[in-house]
Amino acid sequence: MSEKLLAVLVVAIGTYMTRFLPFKLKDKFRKLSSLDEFLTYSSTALISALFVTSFVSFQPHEFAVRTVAMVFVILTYLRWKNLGISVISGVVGYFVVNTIL
Amino acid sequence: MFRKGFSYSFPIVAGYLPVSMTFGILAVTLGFSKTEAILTSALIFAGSSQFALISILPESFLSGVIIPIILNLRHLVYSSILSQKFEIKKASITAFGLTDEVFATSVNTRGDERFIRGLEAGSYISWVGGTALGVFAGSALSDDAIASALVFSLPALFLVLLLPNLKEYSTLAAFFGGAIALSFHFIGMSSAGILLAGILSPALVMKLRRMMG
Repeated sequence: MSEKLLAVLVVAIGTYMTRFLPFKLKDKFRKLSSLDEFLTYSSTALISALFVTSFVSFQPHEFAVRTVAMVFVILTYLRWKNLGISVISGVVGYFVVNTIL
Repeated sequence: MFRKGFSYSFPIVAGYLPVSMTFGILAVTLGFSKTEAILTSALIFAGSSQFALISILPESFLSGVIIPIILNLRHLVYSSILSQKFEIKKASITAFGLTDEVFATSVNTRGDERFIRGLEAGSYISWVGGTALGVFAGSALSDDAIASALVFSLPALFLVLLLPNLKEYSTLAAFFGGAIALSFHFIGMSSAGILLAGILSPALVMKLRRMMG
């Protein structure tokens, strides 16, 4: 087996374990008080963190394009409250703004 | 529910295709064979850690293996949340496809385990398919303007999933989570920032809530 393939297998197993183990240990976690409250806030914080890290760019032009395109996302969300429409409008908005700027 | 999940994976697919194609092109450029590149996506299915793996491995085997796994530690929090929110019967299957985007969509949508698997199936097919496209026809298919527009679907997706959660103390959790992630993003440790955001933010909000009675 090549070194590359061995590395892929080890990372694949390690990644799978980070995803699988909490499901196996859930009964132990359930006994902890305040867990529901913690996890509710945690999921919101994580989505916010994912948004920030995927949105913020250190290149001024790219950041400007993303910011303007995000206006399309917010406006269509406020109008239709539909995930698909908002994401498509954001992608199209990004393409148009990036072409113009 | 599986079909519903599959159809909800559309925004994820739009974002995954250009990124996975880029991965396929880069992996082959860095000396991975076509089979190894596709196997990497098929077996790991975790974007940032795959890029870390192929870029670090030529320098050091140990770092090339450990750093991608550390990058994925945030999945521990994702699975913990989903295991409390949903009744997961086939964890060994459902756990495999739990990416950032699948997690964020799952916690914000009324569904069940089959819904999650539908989401995962659409995402997985596009990730592995995109890698194969990148490997076999990457340079012919890549268009920078279209690719960067499609990649924008991921922050757009996260924002649309975040907005309905901005109520009462959850708004504060979003603020803390965003601030922590941003701080770490600035110093090039985004993954650690996401992990800490998921742990520290709720602790801070709960503490504040108790203090305010």
